[in-house]
Amino acid sequence: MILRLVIYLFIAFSILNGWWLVALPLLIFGIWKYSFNLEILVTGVVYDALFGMIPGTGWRGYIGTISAVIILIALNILKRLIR
Amino acid sequence: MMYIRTSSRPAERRKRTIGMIGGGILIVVIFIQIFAPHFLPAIFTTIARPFWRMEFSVASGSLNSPAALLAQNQVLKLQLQEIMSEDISADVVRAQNAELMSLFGRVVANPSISSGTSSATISTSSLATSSDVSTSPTYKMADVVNNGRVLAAVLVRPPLAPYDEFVIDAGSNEGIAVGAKVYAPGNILIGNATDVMSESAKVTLLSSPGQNYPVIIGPNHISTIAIGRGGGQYEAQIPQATAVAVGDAVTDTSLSDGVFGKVISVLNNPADPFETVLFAPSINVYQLRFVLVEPSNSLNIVNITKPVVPVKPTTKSTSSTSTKVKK
Repeated sequence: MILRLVIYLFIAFSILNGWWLVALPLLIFGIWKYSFNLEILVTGVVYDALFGMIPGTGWRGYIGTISAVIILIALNILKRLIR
Repeated sequence: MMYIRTSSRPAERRKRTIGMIGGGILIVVIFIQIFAPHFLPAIFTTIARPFWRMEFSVASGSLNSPAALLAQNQVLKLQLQEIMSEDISADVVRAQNAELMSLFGRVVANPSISSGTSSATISTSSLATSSDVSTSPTYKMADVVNNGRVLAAVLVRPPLAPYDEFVIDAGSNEGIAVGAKVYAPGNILIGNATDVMSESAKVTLLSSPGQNYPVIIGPNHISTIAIGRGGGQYEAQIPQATAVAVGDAVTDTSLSDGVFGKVISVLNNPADPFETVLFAPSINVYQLRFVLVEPSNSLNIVNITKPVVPVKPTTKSTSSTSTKVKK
């Protein structure tokens, strides 16, 4: 539980600074290690709210959220196949 | 014999619950974005702003010792004096330009857009102590609000971002509207405000992939469209055999002479009727700490989809204009 909390503090700090390259491996690790990791959705939404969601940019303003959904679904399927 | 039933029902129920929560989050986000598109950005930006400001303050040296700050202040004052003395010659040229333009009946909007001086003054004033700001005429807040442009701190700039943009600490409270031009110190046009909140705004760089902007290249005033390549880099296509060389200046098409950058490379393929010009601003946009924002909607971004056909070189039009003047 503490490790999970530490990971998400790092993720929150990374997202505040827009360091998605740091946040992404941590999120993938979180999804892999823990079951039902919905935090990635929240992270995607927060990332888009901070840096995206610009009117007129269409779906490109939601790259974070869309990527989060795809990664979450893909990793959960992969986990089910492997385990 | 008794067997313990290995039921997966609780796990399945948990899966279903969490799946519903996930789906619920997405549906709520979609609804909010449809009916109040600024709601989520405003909330999360408000939460993040104190952290960004704290980081900015630490990066700006607010934790340095007073002695170090005073020493830095002195050095910057000396640099400012040097720059101001160098700027006198530029002022003469600027005044001459304004005079010539007025002879041709053109009203100069910002006759005293001071590039080096303004940036240096702003940088210095930002580092000066509060007493300097209030007493010394050199460090008035009038310098901060420069020629109608608002000074804004760059709070965050995502590296390697899918969103090639800045978040600045000035918003609609400072009179900034969507489309406001954003300049780097040195009168270098770098972007425009694309999403404005009360105390912050998102600035999309003109060098962002997909952005287009009309520019003029070189001493022959070749008109073309600058296409953003990301990372502060631009490219433009011009017809072959046009005299563009590395180091040529690239400017805005308006009379304010907003500098875009300098040509860094010309890619010439003899089989291609066009040559590709790569250019970049003389400053690193990712190292900027302050920008100047012009509160207006006058940015003439053009939406051009591929293929981009460059505008004909204006050498002809220039010559025609000059012949008209001669007549």
